[in-house]
Amino acid sequence: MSMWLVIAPLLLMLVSGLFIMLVDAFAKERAELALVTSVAIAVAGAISLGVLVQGGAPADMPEVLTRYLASDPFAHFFDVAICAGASLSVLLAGGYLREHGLERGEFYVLVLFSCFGAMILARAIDLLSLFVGLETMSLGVYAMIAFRRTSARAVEGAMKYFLLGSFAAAILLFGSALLYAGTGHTDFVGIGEMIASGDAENRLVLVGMLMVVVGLAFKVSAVPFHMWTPDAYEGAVTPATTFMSVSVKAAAFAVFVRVCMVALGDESVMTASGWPTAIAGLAVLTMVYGNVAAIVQKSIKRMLAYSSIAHAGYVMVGLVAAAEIGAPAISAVLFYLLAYTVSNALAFGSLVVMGSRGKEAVHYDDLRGVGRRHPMAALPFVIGVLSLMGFPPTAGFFGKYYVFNAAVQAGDVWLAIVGVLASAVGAYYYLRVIVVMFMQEPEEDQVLAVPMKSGYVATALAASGAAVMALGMMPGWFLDVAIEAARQLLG
Amino acid sequence: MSEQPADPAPSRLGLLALVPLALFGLALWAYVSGALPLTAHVDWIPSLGISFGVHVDALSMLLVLLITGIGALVFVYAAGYSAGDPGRARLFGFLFAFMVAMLGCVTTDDLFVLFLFWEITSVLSFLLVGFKFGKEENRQSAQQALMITAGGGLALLAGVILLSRVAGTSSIQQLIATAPSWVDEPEVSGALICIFAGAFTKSAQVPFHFWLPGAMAAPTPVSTYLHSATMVKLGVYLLARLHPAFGELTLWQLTLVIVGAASSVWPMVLVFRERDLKRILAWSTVSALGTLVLLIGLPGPGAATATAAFLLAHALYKAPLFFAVGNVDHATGTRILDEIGGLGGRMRFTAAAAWMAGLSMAGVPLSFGYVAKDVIKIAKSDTDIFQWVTYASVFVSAASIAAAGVATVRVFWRRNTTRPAHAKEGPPTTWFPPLLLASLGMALGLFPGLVDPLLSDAAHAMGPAASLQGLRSDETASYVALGVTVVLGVSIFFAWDRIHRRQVRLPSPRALQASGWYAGMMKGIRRVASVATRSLSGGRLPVYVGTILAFALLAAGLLLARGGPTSAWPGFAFEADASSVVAAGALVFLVAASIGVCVVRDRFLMLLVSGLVGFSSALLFLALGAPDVAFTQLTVEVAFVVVLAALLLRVRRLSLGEPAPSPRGHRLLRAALALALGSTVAGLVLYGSRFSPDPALTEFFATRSVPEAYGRNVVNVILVDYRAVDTLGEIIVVTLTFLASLPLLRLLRRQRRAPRPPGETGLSDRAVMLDVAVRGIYPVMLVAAAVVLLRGHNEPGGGFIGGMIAVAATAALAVARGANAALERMPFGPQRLAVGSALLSLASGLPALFLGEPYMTHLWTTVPLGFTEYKLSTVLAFDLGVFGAVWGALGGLAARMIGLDERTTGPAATERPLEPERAETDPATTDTAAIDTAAIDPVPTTRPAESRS
Repeated sequence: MSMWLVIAPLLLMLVSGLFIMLVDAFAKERAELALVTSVAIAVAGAISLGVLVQGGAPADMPEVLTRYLASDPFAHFFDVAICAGASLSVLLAGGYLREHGLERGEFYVLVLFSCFGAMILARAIDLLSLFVGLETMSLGVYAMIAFRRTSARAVEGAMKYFLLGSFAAAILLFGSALLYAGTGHTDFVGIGEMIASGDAENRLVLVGMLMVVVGLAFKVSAVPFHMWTPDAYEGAVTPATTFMSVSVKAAAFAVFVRVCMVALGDESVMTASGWPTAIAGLAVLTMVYGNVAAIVQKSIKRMLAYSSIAHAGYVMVGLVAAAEIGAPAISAVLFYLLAYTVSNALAFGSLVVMGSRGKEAVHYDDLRGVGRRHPMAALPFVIGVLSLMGFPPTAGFFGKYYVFNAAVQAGDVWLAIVGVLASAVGAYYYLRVIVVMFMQEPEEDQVLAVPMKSGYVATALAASGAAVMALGMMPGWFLDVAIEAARQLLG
Repeated sequence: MSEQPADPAPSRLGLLALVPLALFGLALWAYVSGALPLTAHVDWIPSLGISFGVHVDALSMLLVLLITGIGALVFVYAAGYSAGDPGRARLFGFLFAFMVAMLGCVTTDDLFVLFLFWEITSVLSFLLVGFKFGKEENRQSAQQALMITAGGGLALLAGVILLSRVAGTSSIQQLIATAPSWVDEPEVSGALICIFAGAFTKSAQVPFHFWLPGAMAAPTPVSTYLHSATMVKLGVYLLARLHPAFGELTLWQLTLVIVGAASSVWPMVLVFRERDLKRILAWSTVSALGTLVLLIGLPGPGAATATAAFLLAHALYKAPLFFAVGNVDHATGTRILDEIGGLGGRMRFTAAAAWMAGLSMAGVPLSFGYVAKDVIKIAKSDTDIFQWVTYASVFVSAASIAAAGVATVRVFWRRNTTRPAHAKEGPPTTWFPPLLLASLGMALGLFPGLVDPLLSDAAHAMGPAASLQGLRSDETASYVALGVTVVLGVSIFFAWDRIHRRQVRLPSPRALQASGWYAGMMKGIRRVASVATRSLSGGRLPVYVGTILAFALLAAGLLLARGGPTSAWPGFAFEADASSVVAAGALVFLVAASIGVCVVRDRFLMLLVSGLVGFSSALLFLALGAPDVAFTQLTVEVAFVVVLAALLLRVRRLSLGEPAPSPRGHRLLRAALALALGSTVAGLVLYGSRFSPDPALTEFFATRSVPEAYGRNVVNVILVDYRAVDTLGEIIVVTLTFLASLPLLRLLRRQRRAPRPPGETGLSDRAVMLDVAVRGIYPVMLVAAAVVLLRGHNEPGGGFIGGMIAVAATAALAVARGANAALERMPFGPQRLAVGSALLSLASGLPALFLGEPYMTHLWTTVPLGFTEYKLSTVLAFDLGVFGAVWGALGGLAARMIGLDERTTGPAATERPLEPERAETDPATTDTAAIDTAAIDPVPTTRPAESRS
């Protein structure tokens, strides 16, 4: 396989980012930047999917690339998830930004560069490329949150995320330094080998590992490092929220899995540090808190923010199981993230479509009776929340099933039980969306939400809806790909 | 609740009934032709071993016939019932989807697939219950119904997973076949409890029974189809299906008998509370379901047959009764018992159907209900262990008779009046289905032999069973028992209102309905949620930071504690020489400044003091023999202070007011946290400094930088030689950033339209001393910068640091004398300086190409200067480029940022609030603000309200 095919997705992100920047600066007419961007990202994802499906021998890559970046099926799988999320977000932005009079080209540039960072992160096999990828991804996101400059909430959300993110980055960096000090390596494999050989300075490794985990837990918004999430998600324009909740989270989990399984996957570290136990604790906190806090929200965006926190908890259950049984659990994590990506994009897209100029749907009350007035606009939302809830035959169900099944196989039955109970609580607030849309009438003096008409948003909804159903009806194929990716990750 | 007919023409969607009708015919044909059991197998998710296995035996067939048969009638009924309703397409769509899901559920052989369809029926039930809404109460009951059944569904999934792990298969037939080999495993109990939870929630058994009457908010076709004839029987079906595998277990028998008995008796106590006809029928449905569960649990060959018979009988009498109540509702607009009566004359067909169904429900001879009750009685008396069940069943039967009487006699036959007077019969589509079903019930009562083969085959699927006819009891004993029951039932019927009044007066109705635990649980969760959210996500950044750090610290402490004490701390050797005195002094300074930052309250002062922290650490580096690091630290610190100061000057004018002082406790907490964190990090660094894991890099530069690059300053050598291309990239980025920020700065300046008082320049009126001082210092700083640049390759210094010193000079000048004055002093102007210098650096690597070396290989030549010699190199050109680019870009940026601030001097600026600062060139943002105010309700900026409930 050609090396160019393998790195084409990365190059495509960079080139199209620069291209969009230029077009935006010089084009007099409003160009269809959203179209170009989403197609570029989708093509990148498609290339990765092609590479993934084709399989075969790894490409012959120059050493400067292979030292820092992997190009294994695992990375390509995450490419698909990241690009799917980003492409859908851009499509949503194409409708949303225009509808709300925010059409400015830099949004697409930010997505492209941030997406580039996310793909680097998913490929990172070294603490250095990890950090560079993480920051490249995050800087774009900070700016994206503050995209609606005149909104105090947006600025506040961005500021909080930026400050806390800097803290987390500092912690992560310190942890990396300690890992290096303890092992003399910055690459995951080297760190892992040093630890396995017993030559590493264990105290430093343990604390370094802890700090790296804290930094990553922050990025995936695991409780108690989640606080920025609701503020940032609420303040950001909805397409940016979509991007953050799917692509960014997927990339962060990609490197989380890599660090845990490749660098810290050795039996001795697991028992000495007890990181599986620690992550299990985080997972329980995250699932319970995310679901419980989502119940009391009035804003759907905030509810979805807490829901995304809860989903991070489910993914971590898979990660804990991976410590015990390896590949099957990792493949569950992969599948879950893919399913979550399309489901969450669908839910946010449905929220986008509910608003039109001058009246954006944000709170539950804004959706009163929409289902009866505009059933076709409400249908995607129903599918989206059902999938997030984990109802068959949607993607979300199999995601949950695989993850909890992996936990049971790994012997963490109690974790699966907590997960199931937490998701039962989750049903309460997801259902409320359906209840409000179909079973409540708007108040007398309420401004009625009128669904926007946008080809972009309609396309995004159709695509994500189809993906949700496809993953729910035919999960086998995707699961097989995920299993193969997981196997190769563990070597 | 009123369901007034709007358009009498039945909907054409009723033709959908042809589909279930065809399926019904097909199923019947398949049964009669003896094709059972039908099996098929399609792989679905091979990696999980899940396949779409189909296995249709008589038990499945019984359900299939019920689903399709009653389904066809429900579609016909719905066509007339929903005529003129704008949402009827949705009703039919959901009903159809529901039917398909039900068929999937009862025909599959895979437990996993069964669960999938099971959950789909739950969701469709939710959507169908919510189809007719109005009161908050209805919505809640719809949601409650789904929460209960979905929660049970999750338990079922857990049970399925556990069971298939124990048994090694999820195929029901294989499960039954292999059951004896694993049924005694301890995990089976856990799996069974989960499966019980699923089945009991679906079939509304105690203590989950309360959702079913709540679901009566649904339109009549839905109630008939889902909540009486089919969906609620899924739980019973699942238990019957699995009975052959677990029937011998004590856990299985005991649970089913106890829960079933409780569920058959308790609803018949609660039913007296109701005045709504539909809810009365719902409670009696719960009771019937309880009886079915009880029958499955009972040992003996009669039980299975009784289950099958009662399953059919219940569907045949309860569905017509629901239809009839729906018709009454349609005709009168009410279902309240006290408001209707004597409708028999007006609604002849409905009344006839209801009468026949009522007789069957009461178990009067010659009806199929009688046949079923008869078999049940025998099944119950078969067992010795559960004798008490028999007595309970007398009460249930009697209450059923009374309820049947209420649903028929009181509604359709009353002596004097017809209430309300305007009632009339609906279109044939509404009375034909109940009439057909009820007649069928009577016909089967007369000729039970017609269904005997089907029922006994179905019963065989559950275990050893007898045929229906073979079980019929001897007539006399049966009639005596019947007589007792009827007398009791009739007395209850007449006492109905009295019991109702007495029961309503009882206290704590919630507890009585047992939905108390559900309501309490929901309330508890909400309370926990709002407390947790407020405390942990209250919107305050300090809390966020504190929590994150505290958790990280806690975890680190735990980990270190696990590791136990260490003796591997580095030793401290203290020698009192000059440098260590400086180092000690720097340390004292550092600590004092750190404490100062915490104590000082003015932000500006805080910034300066925090700058001191940086400067003293630079001093420390210097004393410890790392002058290059010290220089870098120093310059970075300068940039930090300058940029932040420029920013703070602006923020100050926004008059945000002082931050509210935080309580003493918080401050102490924060101090403790900071102290703990600081000492942990310090300890780690100290500990980590013992290890130098890979000295290769240090050695490489120490040994190679002089012979290869002719430089002793390793940092500079790395910057300009080994990593020159990186540096080149960086200065290009710096330059481009500067250029890109120019339009932004220009835009910001245009917004500041505050008239500038004539003659004022910057801060000059207040800072004469500063002005004078800077005038003197500026040239000195530039000379220093040049020196640092030139000697940088060997001594501490270099282009970057020199550039930063020059930037500091320009910034100082801008603060003292105004931005323009500073910008004018820069050679060539900042833009040209930056771009030109970057190009110079770019070009400095080219000569090497002519000599066949790689780009950026530096060339050296020695220039004799008489008394000494100077080594001249392309490195100098490169470093000069770095110097110029840094100075031009960062100096220009700093001066302009400071210049921005000048314009805001004056009274107008202080009144400018933070928010409506908008670019006129961007018309879009105006709308944004409007949207914001519309979409987001006003909350304090610094604290978005987390929970406003």
